[in-house]
Formats: sequence, C-alpha cells, structure tokens
Amino acid sequence: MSVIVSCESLSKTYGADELQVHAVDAVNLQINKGDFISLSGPSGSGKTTLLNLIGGLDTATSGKITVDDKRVDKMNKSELADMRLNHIGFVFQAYNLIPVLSAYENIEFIMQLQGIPAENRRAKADAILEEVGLSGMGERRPSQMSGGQQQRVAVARAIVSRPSIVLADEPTANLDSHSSNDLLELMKQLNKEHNTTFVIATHDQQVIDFTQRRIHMLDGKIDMDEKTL
Amino acid sequence: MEKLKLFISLSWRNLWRNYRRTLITFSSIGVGVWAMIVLASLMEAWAMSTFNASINTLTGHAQIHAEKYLQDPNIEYRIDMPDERQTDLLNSDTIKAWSVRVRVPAIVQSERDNAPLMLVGINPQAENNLSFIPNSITKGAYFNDVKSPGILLGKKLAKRLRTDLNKRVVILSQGPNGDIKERGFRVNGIYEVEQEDTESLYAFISIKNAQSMLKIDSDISEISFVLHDLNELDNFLARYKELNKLKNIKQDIKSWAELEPLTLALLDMTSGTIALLTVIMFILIAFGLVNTLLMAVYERTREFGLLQALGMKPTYILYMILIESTFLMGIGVIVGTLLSLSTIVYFSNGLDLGALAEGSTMFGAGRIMYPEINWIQSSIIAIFVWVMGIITSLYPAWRASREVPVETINKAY
Repeated sequence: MSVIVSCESLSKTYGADELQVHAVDAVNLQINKGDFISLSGPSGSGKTTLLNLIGGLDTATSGKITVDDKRVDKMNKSELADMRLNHIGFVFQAYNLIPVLSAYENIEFIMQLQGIPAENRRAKADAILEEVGLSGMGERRPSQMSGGQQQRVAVARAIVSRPSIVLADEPTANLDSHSSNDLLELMKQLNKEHNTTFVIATHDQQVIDFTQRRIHMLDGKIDMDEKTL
Repeated sequence: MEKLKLFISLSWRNLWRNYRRTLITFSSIGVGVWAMIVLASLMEAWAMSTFNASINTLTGHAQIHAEKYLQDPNIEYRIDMPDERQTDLLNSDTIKAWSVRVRVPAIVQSERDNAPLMLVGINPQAENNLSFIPNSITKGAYFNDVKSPGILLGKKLAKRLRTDLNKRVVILSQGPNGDIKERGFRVNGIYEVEQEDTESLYAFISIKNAQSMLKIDSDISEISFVLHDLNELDNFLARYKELNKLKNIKQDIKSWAELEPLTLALLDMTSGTIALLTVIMFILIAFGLVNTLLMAVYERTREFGLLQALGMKPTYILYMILIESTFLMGIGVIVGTLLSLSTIVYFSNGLDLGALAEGSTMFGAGRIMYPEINWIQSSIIAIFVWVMGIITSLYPAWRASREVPVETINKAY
C-alpha cells in the first residue's frame, strides 16, 4: 500500500514557557492510500490540530509532514494553497459551503480554481451530485438545503477533483443520527468505490464504529492505532 | 480566465449579500461624484462668467494705451489714431472686433447731485461684438454714429444723480493742458448691467463729442479689441509690438490677463479649488468605502479562511476584494456621473443664483451661471475617484488576504 501522509515527530505547541500547551506532541503517523480512519479522543486531545497540520491549515512547531511525498511543513502560503487545492479535500463540522454559490457552483468552485473548463465541470458536478444522492438539487443555495444535504454537498465538493486524501473534522456533529448514518454510508461507499482516503476526526462512537482504522489521541499523543477486519 | 470569471461572479454576488449597505455605499459614492462634477462645472461657469463679464465690460482681449496711461488714466497720456499699417493689422481675420476710445476721469453733475465717473467716448458701431454697451440700453436709445449727441448713463448712476432720460447733466474733466473742460449733455439712454458697480462707474458719449470737448483733435486714449480665437492673442500682440518697433512707436500693449489680474487669479484659483475640492470629497468617500469594505471583510473572515482552506491563494482573495471594490466604486461613479451630467444639462440654459448673486457679482460674475459639460474634467474626476477608490480598498483587501485559515475556519457562524 502506498503512503499518502507521513508524520515524523510532529509537534505543535501553543503559548510559551510554563503556559506552553503541547497540542500535538511528537506524533509519528503513516496514512496509506485507501485508509478509512477515525481520529478520536477527548476534547483538547489534539485531533483537530493534527488534522489541520496534515491539511496545511496550520504550521507545525517541529517535525516533518509529507503529503504525496511533498514536504508540507516547508511550504509557503501559496504552495500550501496549491497543495490543498490539488491533493486534499476538506469536510467541516459547520458544512462551510460558500453561501452565495449554488450547490453546483460550490462543487465546481475547486475545479474552477484548477482551471477546468465549464463544460467538463458541469458534467462532473452532475455526476457527483447523483453519487451523493442530490440529483436535481444543484441550483439550490446552501440556505435552501437541510444540514444533511449541505454536508453531502460539502463531501461532493471535497471529492470531486479526486484528492489524495479527504480530511473531515466532526462531519456528523451537526447532523441527526439518521443523516449521520447516511453521510457515513456515503463516505464508506466513496472509500470503497474510488479508494478515496478518509481521515475523520470525531467524538461520535457511531463514526468510529464505521471506520476500519481507529486512531485514538490523548494529550497530543497517539495512544491507540488499531485496524479492524 | 476561469479564475477571473469565478472572482467576478463571487465579487458581484458578495456585493448583494447586504444589499442595503451596498445601496447606501453606492448612494454615498454617487452623491459624492455628482457633487464633485456639478460643483466643478458651476465653479467653471462662475469663472467663465467672471472672465466674460470682465472682457465684455470694456477690457476686450487686449488694449493699447499710451505709456503711463494705466498708472494715471489722464488725458495727458493719449495716442494717435492707428495708422494705415496698424489699421490693416486690426482689420485682419484674426480680429473679431476693435474700437478706439477716449477714456478720462470726470465728474458728472445733475441738477440734484454730482458723482465721479469714467467718461468714455465711443464709436457706437465699432463697439458691437466688443463691449456690453450696445446691448444694454434699457431706456432711451443707443448712439447712431460717432457724432451722436447725448450721454448714456448707468441706471444706478442715474438714480444717484436723480436724473432721467432727456434731462441734462454737465460733465467736467481735465483738458490736455490741465484746464477744466465742461459740456452739457442730454441723457440719451440708460443702460443696465448685472454689475451695479459698472452702472455707477461709466458714462458714454460719442467719440467725436469727447474729442471736441477735450480739445484733443483725433487723439484717443485706447484701442481695445477681441479675437476670434483667444489662443491667437500672444501671436497677435507680438505682431503688433513688432510693427510698433519698426515704426518706433512707443505704446503700452497689454493682454486681458495683465489688465485684469484679479480675473486671471480667479481663473487660476478655480482650477486649484476644483482639484482641492475633488480631493476633499474623495477623502470623505474613501472613509465610507474603507468602512464598508472593512465591515464586509470582518463579517466574512471565516469565509476567507474557508476559501484559503479550499485552495484559494491569498493573492486571489486580494483580487476578489479589489474586484468587489471596482464594482462598488464603478456603479457609484457611473450613477453619480450620469446624474451630474443630467443636472448640468438641466441648468445649461441658465442657473439663476438669486440671493447668492450679491457675492458673485462682487467678483464681476453674472447673476446667472451657464454650466457646461466639460467632458475631460468630468472624466478626470470620475476616473480619479474610481481608481483612488480601488487603491483605497487595497487595505481591506490585504486584511482579507491575511486571514489565517485555521484561526477562522472553525469559528461558528
């Protein structure tokens, strides 16, 4: 299995002197292509920080991170933006769709930044909307959709350009159990069909039970990393 | 190109997210631009009114006198009638109208009162297209020829002298030898002009009467002329001076700018004032614009973080805000410019200053302004505001592009 993400002695420290907080503390981690991972742990355990570091949304205090063999910790802002655009998909707790754009346009946003022509974009957006079960809802704006539907659009946006890895931070936190289950089924299906790598930071046992690799964090360290059959 | 389309689309839609605020900002920019262009046009109209009034009163585009006459406008300092070559030059195509005059300080006495004035002996026909007097007679009649009897008084002077049409007044003035010359005249006409000072200052008689009264044969005090094209003035004056030099004639030849330094200063001041007002108005607009854009940026910090998280480079965020500002300024500027041009066209047949005219006429301007569309000036103001507005929005745009994704992305809506 090829390694998508590699973290070596990765640390992130906030504050200074005696007020220092080690949000991520010398973490070593390898994520392989096709992994479906849950990253769990109590609040403040460092799971979101680790996700942000992998996604290049935050910078490490020390250590190495590579995504697709590229050193994320050495990149400037512009290179990080390019890396996120072409290699990483994000799904956030609060959906984070662009409110002035329709579902189509939100999904096409990434492709538009990548310079993909309009005719190809719409075909891909149509296909992915069908895949996430939102056919016919492409013209709706986020405010005209339910939370579950918005999160499906967010997943569609995250995977439409076939990124190396999708990082999802508490994607089910704002959803009811039915919508959560649907979303997880969708992500698992995408993982199986397209071999898309998912890393899902969560508190939710339902999510953890869905994943085939379960990483648990405590005080900035990984204290458990197990695979299920 | 795809990215540009995206930025334009996002910017345009973002503009209408808070349409009330956007409309208020459009309005403030529009009103500001409207005020700038209309004010600039009115100031120009006022300056032109001052210039035209000054030229039309008696000055013309230039005058020729004896040396020292302007320092001491005395009959002692007079010149000969233009000779053949000078006349040929004055009759050339460059000149629209010219005339000779006798102009001396005098005292007018009616049966009731007396007053100092400037007595002007004129050639009635030659004054057409040159000065105000042929078209300003509101009572009585203008002169028919260079020997016409009678005197033309301003309405204000006539009132002061408590005299009227067909009544007699006596003019006293110093002759060339220092003796006092006097002659009685019947009031032939009363003239009215917007500048009341002019009505008090000048009285007109025919030039032959002036010459015979003062015993100066065919001598004159001044030659005044206007050109078809004012841009030709320097060239013409140079030719006239050259002619005088060849014939060793010493005369004082001065352009309107030298004769009316106050008018020249007012014209210069107008350009400066327009520029200053434009800058001041822009500063007021700029505060509103920066405030609006900063508010829009602060409201959307999370969104800018999201856009960066999704792969938008910080410079793209900067472009997006600048495009937003371009729309915001552009619409405001276009609306303001169209409104201002409509306003100027509406008042182009004359804007009566009414009560404000008192102050205006003090500087020689007319009571009625005739604003005109100055395309170059309007374009400069509009483009200046537009471009400066975009430059001003660099700060909010820079702030937006500096948002760090991780600090904003997880904030709740």
